[in-house]
Amino acid sequence: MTTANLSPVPLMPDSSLYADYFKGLRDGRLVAQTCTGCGALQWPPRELCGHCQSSTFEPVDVPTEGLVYTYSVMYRAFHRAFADKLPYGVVVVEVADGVRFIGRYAGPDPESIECGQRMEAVFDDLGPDSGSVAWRRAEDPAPVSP
Amino acid sequence: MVATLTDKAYIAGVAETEYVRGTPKSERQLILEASAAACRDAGIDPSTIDGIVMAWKDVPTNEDFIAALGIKDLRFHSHVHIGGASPVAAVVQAAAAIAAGLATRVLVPTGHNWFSRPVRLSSMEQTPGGVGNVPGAEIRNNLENPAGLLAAMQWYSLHANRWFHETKADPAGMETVALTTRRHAHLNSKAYMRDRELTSEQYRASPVLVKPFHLFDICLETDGAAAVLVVSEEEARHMNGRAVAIAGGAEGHAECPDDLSTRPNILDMGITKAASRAFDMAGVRHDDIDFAEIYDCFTFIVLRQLEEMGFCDRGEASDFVSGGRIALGGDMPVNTHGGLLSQAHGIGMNHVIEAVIQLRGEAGPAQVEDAHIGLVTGYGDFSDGSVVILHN
Repeated sequence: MTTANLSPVPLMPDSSLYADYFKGLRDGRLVAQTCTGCGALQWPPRELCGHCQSSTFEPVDVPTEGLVYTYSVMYRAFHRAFADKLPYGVVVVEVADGVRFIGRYAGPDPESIECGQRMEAVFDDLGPDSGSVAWRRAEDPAPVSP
Repeated sequence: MVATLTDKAYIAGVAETEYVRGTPKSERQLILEASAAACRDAGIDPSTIDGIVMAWKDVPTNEDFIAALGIKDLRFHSHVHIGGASPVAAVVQAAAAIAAGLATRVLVPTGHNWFSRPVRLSSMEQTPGGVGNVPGAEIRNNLENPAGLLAAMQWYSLHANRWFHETKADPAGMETVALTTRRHAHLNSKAYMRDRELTSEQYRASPVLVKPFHLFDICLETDGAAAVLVVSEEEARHMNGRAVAIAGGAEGHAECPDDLSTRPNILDMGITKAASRAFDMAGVRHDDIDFAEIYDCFTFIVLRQLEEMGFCDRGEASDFVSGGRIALGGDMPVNTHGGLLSQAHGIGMNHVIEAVIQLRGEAGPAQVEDAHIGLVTGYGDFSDGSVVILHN
């Protein structure tokens, strides 16, 4: 196992399909793609538009908050990077019609995550420019800045 | 025109290796050995097969098969890559090749050393991208793995937790599936858990690994291989009278088949589409099914497949499986061999084999009385589905 795999940060940052997404995360934005052929919002990014088969897209910002569509809570770590974080949560948050982002849950009490809870994106909990997205419940008190 | 394969092809031979935890043999060797044994079970010389539909795995290659089995004239081969839905879909594809006249004796093998591989589905040492052979590598590596979502049981939990939210389904059905299939495994000498009792207390006391899955909601990791031989109607007529007919079958794929997160409705599955096609082709109704071997990598996915196939409504499967309905002696026994949960992880080929054994009347203490029509499902990757209906 290489150390590169130990950090919960993107594992294929060189993927051109995901370049705009990762650039957006570093800037505190969530970026999906809009097809220039038919205007469809597409996520996750793919080479062709699933509606019109165009291959040209523009990056588009989507809201950084939304509702939990589904989630998971882990009591076992499947990678050493998460061994000291148990139990930890993963949430799938719907930020726009049909557009859902998966991310780490970074708020308190992951065992109380439920579908329908409102979440806000957190971009810097692993440090500035970490290029990751996590989520916290909108209703929870905001974390105290260090 | 309704496409039909009904009674155009038969399963004439079945074989599986021992299911073990730890083997010195390679997957290739185990798969080749199971393949030769399936031919012998059908009473034919392995060198005479003329088709191979490889389920899920890339190896053995067609060259490996030709060399190992001494095949004289391989006329057709293909690979089916839809995870645990592959074996059933591969049987249907073999039947289609036979119905089209492309081949007459088609081997359908698979196998996997789930336990002995360096990367295990359940392992703490899971490496990103390490499960292998799953679609959507970019999605896994860029979106899921960084969030700590790496293992199959986590993918299934996304589906299960939404199911509970939308339908208020009763989780009791998960325990029913776990305990029922374990009792069936006690009747199967080939089952890894043949001697290991599982009580309700043990089930409930077992750790939750990923919400909502207790340890005993999750299938076994074993090493082994299995194969069946599919032959034409004319070939079957000249065999030993144990061939089982394929009444109908189909595969199906959900929207966004590589991404559970953005599927418009995560409860939609491949089998939602495949089941009605298979029932229509076979010309049977749900009431006609004498027993079912349902892909059971997790207890909850058995419940979900029963719902999506139309045995009951969404959210109602816990009621459906209650009262002994899916136990031997019940209205529709399920996973009479113990399944992936308590026999072994035979990638669901063990389900196909069990259905054939039942329809031959060779299931011994686990024999379903008056078994004439059996249904087998496969579930793979991110909800690919397959169904085959067999009869004697």
